[in-house]
Amino acid sequence: MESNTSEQAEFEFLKDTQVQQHFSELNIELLRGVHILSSDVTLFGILDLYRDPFAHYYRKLYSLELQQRTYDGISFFYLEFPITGKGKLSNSTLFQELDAESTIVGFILANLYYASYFSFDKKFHWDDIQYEIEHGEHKEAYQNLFFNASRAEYSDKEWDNVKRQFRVVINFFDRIRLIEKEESEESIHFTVLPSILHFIEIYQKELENTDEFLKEIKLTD
Amino acid sequence: MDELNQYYNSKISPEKMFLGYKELFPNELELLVIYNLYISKSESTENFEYSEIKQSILDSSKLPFLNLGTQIQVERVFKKLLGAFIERIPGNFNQFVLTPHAERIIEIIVHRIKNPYLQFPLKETFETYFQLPENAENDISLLQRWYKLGFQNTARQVVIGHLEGLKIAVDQAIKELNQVLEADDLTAIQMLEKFAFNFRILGEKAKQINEALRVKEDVYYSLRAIVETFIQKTDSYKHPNTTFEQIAYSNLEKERESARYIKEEVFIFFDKVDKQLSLINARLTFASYKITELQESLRAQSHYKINLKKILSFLLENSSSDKNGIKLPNGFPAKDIVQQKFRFRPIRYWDRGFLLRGKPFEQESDQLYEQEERNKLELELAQQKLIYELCEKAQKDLSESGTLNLSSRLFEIMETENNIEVVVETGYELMRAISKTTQINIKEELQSDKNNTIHTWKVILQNKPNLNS
Repeated sequence: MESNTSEQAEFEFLKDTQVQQHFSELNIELLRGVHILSSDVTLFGILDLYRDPFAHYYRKLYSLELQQRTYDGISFFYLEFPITGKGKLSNSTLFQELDAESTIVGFILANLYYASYFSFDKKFHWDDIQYEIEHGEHKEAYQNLFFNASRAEYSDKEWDNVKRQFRVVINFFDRIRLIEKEESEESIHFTVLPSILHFIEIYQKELENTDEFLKEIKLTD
Repeated sequence: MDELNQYYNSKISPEKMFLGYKELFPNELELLVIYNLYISKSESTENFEYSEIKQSILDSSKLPFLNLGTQIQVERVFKKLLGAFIERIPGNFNQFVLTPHAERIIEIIVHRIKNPYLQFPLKETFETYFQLPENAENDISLLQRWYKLGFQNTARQVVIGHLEGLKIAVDQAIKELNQVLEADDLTAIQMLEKFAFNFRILGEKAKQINEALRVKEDVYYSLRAIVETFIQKTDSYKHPNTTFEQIAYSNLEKERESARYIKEEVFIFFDKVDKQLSLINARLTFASYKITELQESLRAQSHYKINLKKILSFLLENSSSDKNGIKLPNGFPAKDIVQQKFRFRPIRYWDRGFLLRGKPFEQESDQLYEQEERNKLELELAQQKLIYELCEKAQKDLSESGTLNLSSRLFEIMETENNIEVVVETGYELMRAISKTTQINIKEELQSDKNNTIHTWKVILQNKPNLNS
């Protein structure tokens, strides 16, 4: 009886009308890997108000950690696996492995973010990426990877193909709110959000000891 | 006072401005000579001899960034300096001093570079110079004097000086900060620590200015009260009848307008200061915020920045691609993210399907038509039954008597049933049923029924003799 009462108290926050009204949406968004930014006033407001109860809820029922970060003056929430493992999402339908395209584009976006560290808006356009591929520091590597060849020029069709690959990942990152896509059908136009920090954190171990990490990889290869 | 006001407020022609500029502003070489003299004057004496000035001109002209070459007309430069920038000491023909104006020019530049206001507590300056004279509401000349000397010449200049100094310092610090961020290595962190210190000082200064400007609220209200007093004095003055009263009233009006003018001017100035200060504050806040944020995390951020580049570079160079897509280099970990796939999402569409299911459409019936069709069907059934019975009977008769006149039988049926179809169908059906066991004898003698409806050859059916018996 006692444990019932304390359990009731733990989930008392679910009685809040606001929480009840938006719980389903909020829960699904978080479990889908979406980052809830402070610009999303309603959902962020609820999480901010009941941060501890929500954190407890996800820890207890999903074995997931509700994380909050503030970066560039913008706060955001997201769910993360605990250090010990994947918790109750160990079923393969409950998590996703970032594919190679997402991983590479993720690193490109993180680099773009740092390159414009002091700009208030971190807006980018397909042209910025195209420039990197055509003239950037790693142009040959980019071209070999995306065109399978390094040439002076590529056909429109080839560019469309590369653009399509980027667009898929951009849409994915937009869906989980690491970036914000502008409404534009014909072109890729987006803002890298401070939540990109989460992507960087995912690779924290490798980023902390990059030299050793790369050395190890090269040895095993 | 009016004449003085008029004099101050009258516009100066561009030509006079140009002449003033020629006289009051030194060229580059002249400025450097003045500066050379300014820094070489010792505590014991501020005087220079002609030879010292001449040497100073020569030394300055050789400064490499001036690019003046060697041909310098020293005497000409000296003569240009003499007047606005250098003057002879009365009674000593060979001794010179820098004019206060020359010193002021140097100080303006020095202040611009090393702003002294940043070291002065502004609040005290404010409190001293913005102090309105006592009894100003009774004596307009006190207020006017404060306005000209205290406000315009001192307080205003000091505040502008502080704001200018702060603005320049903030801009410069931000500029240098941006340059630091272009540096890619860890020395940026050390440099940033220095900047953080500078920004803290600037932040303090901005805070001080903010505080000091609160004093202006007092000035604001005091001035308003003074103007109010002058307005009341004018309003309560009885209608001027005598010449003396008219003069007194006119003077009161002038005083009121003068007070009002001073109040407006001071308010306009405060307004400008507010705007400028909020602009500086915004820049400072943004830069300070970035500095603080960076300071807290730059060591990590800078580290990450460099390493992010390294990893991206490694990924680009070592990933491979084929028609199935891109493959990460061997050993490079693909990371997992929370990404529950909600399988019930398509239910939405199923829902829609169920909601749209149609009701069966109840067809209207034509009962008359239905009955007709039913009758037809029943008639047909009855006819077939009849044919069957007639066939049965014929077969029975045939087997009993061994022979049957088919023609006659058909005519009988025609007579009783009066249905040619029944007759024909019975004929066919009977023939089909008996053909294997019965011999059919057809004589080409035309037979007809009573009504002459049916005509047929004479057909006699005869049982075939049993071959086995």
